Amino acid sequence: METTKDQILESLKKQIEGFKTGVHAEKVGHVLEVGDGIARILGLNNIASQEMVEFENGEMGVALNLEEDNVGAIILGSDKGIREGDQVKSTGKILSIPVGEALLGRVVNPLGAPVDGKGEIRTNTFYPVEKIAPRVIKRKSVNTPVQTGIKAIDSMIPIGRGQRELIIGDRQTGKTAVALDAIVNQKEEDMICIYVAIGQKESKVAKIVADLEKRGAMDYTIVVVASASDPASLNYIAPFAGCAMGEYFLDKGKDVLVIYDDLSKHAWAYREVSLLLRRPSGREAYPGDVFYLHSRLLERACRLDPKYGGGSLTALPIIETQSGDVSAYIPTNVISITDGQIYLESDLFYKGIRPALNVGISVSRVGSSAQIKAMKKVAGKLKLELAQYRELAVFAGFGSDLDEATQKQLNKGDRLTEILKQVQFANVPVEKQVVILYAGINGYLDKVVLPKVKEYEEKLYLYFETKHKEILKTIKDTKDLDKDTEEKLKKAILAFNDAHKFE
Amino acid sequence: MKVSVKKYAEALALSLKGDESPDSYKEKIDNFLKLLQKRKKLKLTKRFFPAFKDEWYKIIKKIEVKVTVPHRLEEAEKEELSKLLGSAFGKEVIMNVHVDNGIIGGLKLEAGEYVIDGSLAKNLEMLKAQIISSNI
Repeated sequence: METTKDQILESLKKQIEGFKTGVHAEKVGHVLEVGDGIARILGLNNIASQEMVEFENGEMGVALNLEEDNVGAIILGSDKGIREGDQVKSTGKILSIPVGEALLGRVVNPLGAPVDGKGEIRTNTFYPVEKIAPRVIKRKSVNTPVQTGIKAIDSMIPIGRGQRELIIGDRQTGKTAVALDAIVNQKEEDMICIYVAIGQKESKVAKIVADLEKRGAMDYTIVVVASASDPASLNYIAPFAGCAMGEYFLDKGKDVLVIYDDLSKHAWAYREVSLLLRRPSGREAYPGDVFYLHSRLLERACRLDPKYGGGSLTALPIIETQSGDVSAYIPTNVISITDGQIYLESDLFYKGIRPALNVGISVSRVGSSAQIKAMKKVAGKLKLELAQYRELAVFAGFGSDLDEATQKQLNKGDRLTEILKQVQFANVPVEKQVVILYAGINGYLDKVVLPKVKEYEEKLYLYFETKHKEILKTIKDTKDLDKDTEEKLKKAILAFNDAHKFE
Repeated sequence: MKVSVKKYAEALALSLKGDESPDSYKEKIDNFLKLLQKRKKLKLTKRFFPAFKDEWYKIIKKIEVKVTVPHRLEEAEKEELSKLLGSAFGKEVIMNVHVDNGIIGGLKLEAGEYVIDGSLAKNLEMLKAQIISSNI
């Protein structure tokens, strides 16, 4: 004890003795006007765009508009303590945030400061918030899946590592639920997850963090929060900050999943900032570069070539539509940027189909090449079956007499739809998904009455876990469903059907 | 084209230069205000003064320096400081002396957009930052 005390004293003494008094020279500007989270600054002639500035009361800002005789800056925090005529220092640093392993399991604001009360975050690495996305040479096409544990998504709208898949839907259709399921399912996948909440209610964020903690998902997750009560400037930089935190792990060769919840509110925040900076407004009063804003953010999602580290950054942006209007400005923009979209519909949600996926119009443009072979074999048929079912279901609605073939098709479709229903946080590993979908599309469930499909599914999983673990293991390890395994699988399901009745 | 405050200030400063009689000053400033009114730019007047001051000092080759010291300066000290600053900036110096014992010792100069801080308070602050960042 005594020695450490001495060491501290010694080191302090050395520092004090070694300190050279000097003259500190710097260039400053002065606040011309301040309000609405924006400051106009006179002076600061040599400032760069996106450079951080420091106000006299210690508040930070970012210079966004460099005009002929003044500088327009957003204030990252409250504008309350800043007065006209205050000195403003330029820091010479482009807006950057702390990144590193220390952030895992923490809830931070977009500037990397903790907001969960768990103490200081110690890290020495800083990443710029805005960064040019990896170029063509560094990239590789998507080839590994992100397993979300949601049957409907993993089978029909597969997401690959490095893909950008949009989750779009009205309020209260379970968009966040899909994203959270995806995070929770990464527990054994060695993936880092980053959840960026933009303009969300603090209560909702608190619930999300509690949910993740309960399921042990916070160990590999960073939550970045810019809540509805934070200034627009923080909401504006939040997704870029989340992406920068992900890029740190990407550079380490890891796989990262970033969720932006949601980009409509991000666009609102950017609109507010832009209008206050008096940039010209365009359609729906959004500034002209709102497309570029989102495209440069989502372009940073990538799968790197093994020569350049081989990590990946998968982006799951979320967009909230107003009463299903996907042709509004921001939804169309983001749809065209992303590699596919997952549509959630309130009609389906209220019909009890949860997740309320509209599998007819949801697509994944690159994900299918990332799907494991076993899943590909069952999913191809599944898509076809469901498409035919939807077509027939329209006619069946009229109640006319149906021939046997149609009846059978409808019957199977009903059961497949039932299989695809799934409650939140009930993730199914991919090998089990293959088993149940295989049983479904090959008609082994046709004798099961609809209300008992869930029970059938659960018992089938249990049966395979206890009696046929080797089949699950083979599918998991080889990722394929070869002739041999398929035969074994078929036999096992038939044996199960004989032993159990669901009528 | 939009004319900035700086341009207006420069224009007025240039037109005032040369003819140094009070009457001509008054007339030119009157005309200038009329021009602003005609162009509906009277609201610029608030931002105009600092810009004009900068331009005017540039033209008459003077520089305004705010000097902050910990205690009242003697006349001789002031004169010496003024001379020193004048040779440093290469211009005639208009000194605004502020007494603030918060800086403890040393001297702080503010000229235009430059702040040169050689005060004891600032040095202590820097020492503090250095000790904190060294993480003992």
